[in-house]
Amino acid sequence: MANATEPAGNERFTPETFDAVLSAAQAGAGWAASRLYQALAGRVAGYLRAQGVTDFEDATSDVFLGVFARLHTFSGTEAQFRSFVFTIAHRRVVDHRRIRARRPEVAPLDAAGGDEPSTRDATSAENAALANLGTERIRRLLGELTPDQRDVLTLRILADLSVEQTAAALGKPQGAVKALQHRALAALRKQLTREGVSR
Amino acid sequence: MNVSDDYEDEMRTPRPLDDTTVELILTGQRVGDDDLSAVAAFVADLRSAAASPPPRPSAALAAVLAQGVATTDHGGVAPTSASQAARPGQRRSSWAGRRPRLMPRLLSALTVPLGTAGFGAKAAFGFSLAAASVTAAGAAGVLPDPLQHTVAGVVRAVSPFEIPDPADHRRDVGHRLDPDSGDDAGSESPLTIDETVPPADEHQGEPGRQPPDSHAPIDTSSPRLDETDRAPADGSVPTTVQPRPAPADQDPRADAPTGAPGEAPADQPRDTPTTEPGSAPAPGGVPTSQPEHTPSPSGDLPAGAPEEGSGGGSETPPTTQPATTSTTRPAGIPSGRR
Repeated sequence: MANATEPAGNERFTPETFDAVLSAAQAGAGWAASRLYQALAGRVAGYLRAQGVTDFEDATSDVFLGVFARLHTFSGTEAQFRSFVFTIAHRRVVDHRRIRARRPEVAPLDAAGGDEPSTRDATSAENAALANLGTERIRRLLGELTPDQRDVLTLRILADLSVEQTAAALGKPQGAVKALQHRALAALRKQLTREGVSR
Repeated sequence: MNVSDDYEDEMRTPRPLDDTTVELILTGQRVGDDDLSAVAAFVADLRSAAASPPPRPSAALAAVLAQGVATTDHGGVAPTSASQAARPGQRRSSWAGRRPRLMPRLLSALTVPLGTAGFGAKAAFGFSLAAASVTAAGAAGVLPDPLQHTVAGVVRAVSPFEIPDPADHRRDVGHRLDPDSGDDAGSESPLTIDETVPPADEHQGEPGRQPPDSHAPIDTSSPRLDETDRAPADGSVPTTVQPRPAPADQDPRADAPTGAPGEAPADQPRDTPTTEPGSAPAPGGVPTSQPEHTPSPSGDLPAGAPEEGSGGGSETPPTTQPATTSTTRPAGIPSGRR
């Protein structure tokens, strides 16, 4: 499980530590694969959830199965590995959008399967709503963006990818990525100003 | 009251989003502006939402995390679709126990080019395989006689090598008569071999002489016939043929007198037949030419004669002609030896 002194799912490696863990994972060490999973699984799940993937837990497992299947092909730094993982995660999002476009999903009533709180248990629903309030607001605001703007914003924010890495993950030119992030922030600012929400 | 301040508040324009400001917001740094601070706050909330504990891995992923990544696996698991997310039990586990499949990949690597080749290339490839198979079988001497003879001729023509040729064997076999074998082989009978059998001393030791046509009738009326070579009274037919230069691998039974396989006449000079360059001994060690020998119980083998049972071993011993046909036999053909 995640280290108690660090935010869960946000383990940061030192360059030496990452190289050692990566090498061990490529050599077949289970503990090293677990370290890599623990370091990025939370971010990947958050990215998938922000992109509207309801079964984000299974989708996260699928992403890491794909990562480990191609692990032997990777070599680089931790930042590059992060880009490698979120590139696979983005493809999973694209697949999810295609499937959802062909077959609209019915939002589950259970709060565990989505952000919608259950109405059968008022206490749990209220708690779930409070717990998901920030998440719901985030999802609502992100829903105001176009898919491309949302992709750029989530990858830059949740994955901590640079403009170059985001462009590579999305298969777009860097100029297009910059333009998209400009428009995304401008739209958010307009929406937030309209709502009058401030901290 | 400062009028200018009111106007300034109303006329405040949003700070433009330049690249620097964008980078400050996206990286979670303070921007200092009210509306942009709201955006910055949103970005912080979004980043916090992502900092959640890792979700529970699926069964397949749990196996990978427990056993480690397969170092020989270069395939990868196709991610399940969203519709299958509710059925983790059906998730494929391609990691546990996977082994490299080199043979299929090798076969696919070999067959893919063939599969993409044109018809001519495929036909040529198939023909080459067939030709190689036939040649290999011919070298082993396991083809039917007509085909074996054809293949032997082709190989002899295109290469310095020799492979067993049943025609050669029949030529050699024709000089051996075995009364006990069932091989009466019609035209292959030694008695029907048309051999211009030279005198006994004419071709002794003569190297490289080719055997005459195995199917030519034998002139038994030749004055070269030796009385001692005529069929004995018991009906056994001598198998010794009139002298011809015998190769080094001649079968001693061809020289053997009455009923003694492998024996050579003692009173006949031993030839040291030489094998013609490039020619291979016939299977079974049947000599292509025979020195003139008279039967001898000594059992001595002529020099250069192959051991019994040598060679291809696939040839049956020659048949022994009945006594009634002895008059048509060439001189010096002894009776059967068995």
